[in-house]
Amino acid sequence: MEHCIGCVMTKQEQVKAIFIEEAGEIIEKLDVDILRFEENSSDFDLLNEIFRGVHTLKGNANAFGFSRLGEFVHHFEDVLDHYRSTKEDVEEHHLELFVGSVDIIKEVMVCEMDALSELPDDYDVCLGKIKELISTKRNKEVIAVVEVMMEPIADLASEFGINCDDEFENSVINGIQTLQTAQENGLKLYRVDLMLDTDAYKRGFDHMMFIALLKEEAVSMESFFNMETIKPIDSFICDENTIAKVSVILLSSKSKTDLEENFEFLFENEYKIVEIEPIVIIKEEVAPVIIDMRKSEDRRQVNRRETTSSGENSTSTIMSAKSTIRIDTFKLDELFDSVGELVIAQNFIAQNEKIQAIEDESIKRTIETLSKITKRIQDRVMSLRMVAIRDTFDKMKRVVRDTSKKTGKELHLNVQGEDTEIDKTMIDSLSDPLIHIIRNAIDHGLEADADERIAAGKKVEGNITLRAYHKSGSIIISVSDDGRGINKDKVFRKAIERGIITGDENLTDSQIFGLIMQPGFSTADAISDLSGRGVGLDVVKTSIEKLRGKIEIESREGEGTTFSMVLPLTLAIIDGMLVQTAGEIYIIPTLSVVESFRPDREIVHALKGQGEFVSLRGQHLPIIRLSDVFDLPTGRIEPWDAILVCVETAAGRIAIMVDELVGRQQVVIKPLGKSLAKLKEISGGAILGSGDIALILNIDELRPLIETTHA
Amino acid sequence: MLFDGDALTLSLDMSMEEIREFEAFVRPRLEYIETIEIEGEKPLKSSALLALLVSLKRSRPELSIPFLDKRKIHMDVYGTLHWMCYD
Repeated sequence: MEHCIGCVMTKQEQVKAIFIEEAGEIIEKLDVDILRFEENSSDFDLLNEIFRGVHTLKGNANAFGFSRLGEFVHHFEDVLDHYRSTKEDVEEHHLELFVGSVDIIKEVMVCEMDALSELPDDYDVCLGKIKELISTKRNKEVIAVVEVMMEPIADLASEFGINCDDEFENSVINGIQTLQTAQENGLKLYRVDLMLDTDAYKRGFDHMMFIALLKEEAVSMESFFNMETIKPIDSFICDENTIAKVSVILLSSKSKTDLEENFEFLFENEYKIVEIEPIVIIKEEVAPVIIDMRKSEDRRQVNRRETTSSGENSTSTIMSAKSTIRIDTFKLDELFDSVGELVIAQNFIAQNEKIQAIEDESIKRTIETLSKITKRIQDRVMSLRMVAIRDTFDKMKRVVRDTSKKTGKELHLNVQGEDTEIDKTMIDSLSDPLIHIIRNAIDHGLEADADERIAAGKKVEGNITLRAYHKSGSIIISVSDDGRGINKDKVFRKAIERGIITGDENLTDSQIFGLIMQPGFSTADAISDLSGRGVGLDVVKTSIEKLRGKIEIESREGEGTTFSMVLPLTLAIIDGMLVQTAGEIYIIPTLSVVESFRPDREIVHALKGQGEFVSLRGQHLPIIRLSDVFDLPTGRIEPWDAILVCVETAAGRIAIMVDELVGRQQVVIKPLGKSLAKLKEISGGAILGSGDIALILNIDELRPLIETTHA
Repeated sequence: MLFDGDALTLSLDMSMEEIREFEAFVRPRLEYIETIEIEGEKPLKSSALLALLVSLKRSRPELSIPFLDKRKIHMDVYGTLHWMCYD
């Protein structure tokens, strides 16, 4: 039996993968929270929340050897801690430092994950500012610190580990996470802290005695000795316990009460037992999504429980199994695939002529019930892949803020439809296009300055609206501005100048606006570092088309522009138009279909060397004979005896000639085998209800065969 | 406990009494002990020995104690033990 070595993650790798996932979530939240705090810097609850995130990040970063990230967040945490504990007002320029620090954290995290030796350019500068700030703030506290240092040794012992406690805690948390991955049903995870008094040995107790007792109750166990307080030999007395703390992490089937019996002869202050909530992990995790098990509640409320006994100082967060579980998206895909098969099988039964011919009411009812249940299962499985777009929109708030500052334009961001759900795999690919469109809207869409807006009769503050909603089975994500709009004539002239069009074309407004997304097109008078390089919008267009979506642009000069990204609900299913030619069925993605018609003979033309065209409302569309593309044996049919399906492709509109339209259907996309995958005109396959296989057309790759002639 | 030239060899299962004796022995000789080795695979009987080894290392950092440098050990009777010395 063969094993894919590279596919098997060690426990350490699994834990690290979980850390990276959690760190990403923490950083994303920091990014949003820090902006909210910038808006309301007297919200100390929010500052506490930010502090906790940074604190957790620090602990985990150090535990996994991400020392550069650990160092940065350590100092940043100090600053946050100062403000949250003193409740001192945060000066505006320090708020700016906070926001910049979160940027550095994001960048350092990338460096750590990619094991890059170089750090972000601003790392040292930002860290220097943070250190300077905390140094300034602490000057006032020097006297208090000296007093603490002069406390008696006993007090120091109680304060042990001020500098090193985190390192100890990180190791303990590492141990907790390791045992969590091994936690099975029926086993409980405990943390037992032993803080034996100095006379423990004389009283006949020893850490090893308790560790051995606990081990008898444990399935798996790790103990951590904090040796920070051990003195050099001159002041060391081996009869006295000077080990400040030993933390024991164990997996056991015993109850907490059972464990407590081991310590009945100790004083209450000498031990503490905490049961740690379990974490549910599906192993071999690659790209997990979090599934909310309480749909009615806010998806963003992920219950986190502190794992340590140190209350506010705890450094680990555990995801409660009661609210969410993490599942590998690969497993979800497999489940979805299986449900796809179920739908196909159900369609086969429902459409089978022999079964339909059976005159039995109960069988008909059973088939109907089966159909309903199958549809319900399909919908529910689909919903597992769906996540609210809220997090992506939250990230855009930061983009708007930064772009506003860079351009010096005052603006207000309106966000609508944050709860609109979208396929998880799609959402990851949406950020970059959205960022570019938003920057473009602010940089070029809005008027250059306040004077220009006032002259246009508008308020000084510009408006950017980010919206998500459903429309006709698609998801629309739009970015609107109330700026100057697109100058249609300028775009048209520029497109001719750049050789994108000849000028003879009869283009609609939408098609003219669409020209700005052609490669190399830019009407920006000056290239800024935000947009206007002429390479942006075509990349945006390509990214959206990869998601089987498209971009629509509406604009009114002087009033503003809206970029709408029209996306399918999911990448696993498409809404397709089934067409037949030469007895074969093909699927055209409905999103691309503009219209279908049987042309009059008068509007069909053939030009020698250029192929066939159909004139449709002043536009000449090349006719693509599907039977020719796939070399299907068929008698010669003239276009006016066939059906033309007008579709929008990357290169413009074309008319696909087919024998007949079969219908419209949602189909589950199946990958093609190696031989068919080479056919660029095909993007996938689907199994129809009849059991037949149909190929899905990649319409951007359909080209007319210019040798075609007809009378 | 075995002292051979500049190397001292100990067993982890020393009782408290033996640890006291070891402490008394090592205090005046710390300067010329080069290495402290652990022999055998018997389990650590008292955490006082671990504390004493850490104390010796802290007093004379150049003293070689390979056992301490491992920072962890697995023993069937205890599970895995880790120690943080911050040196």
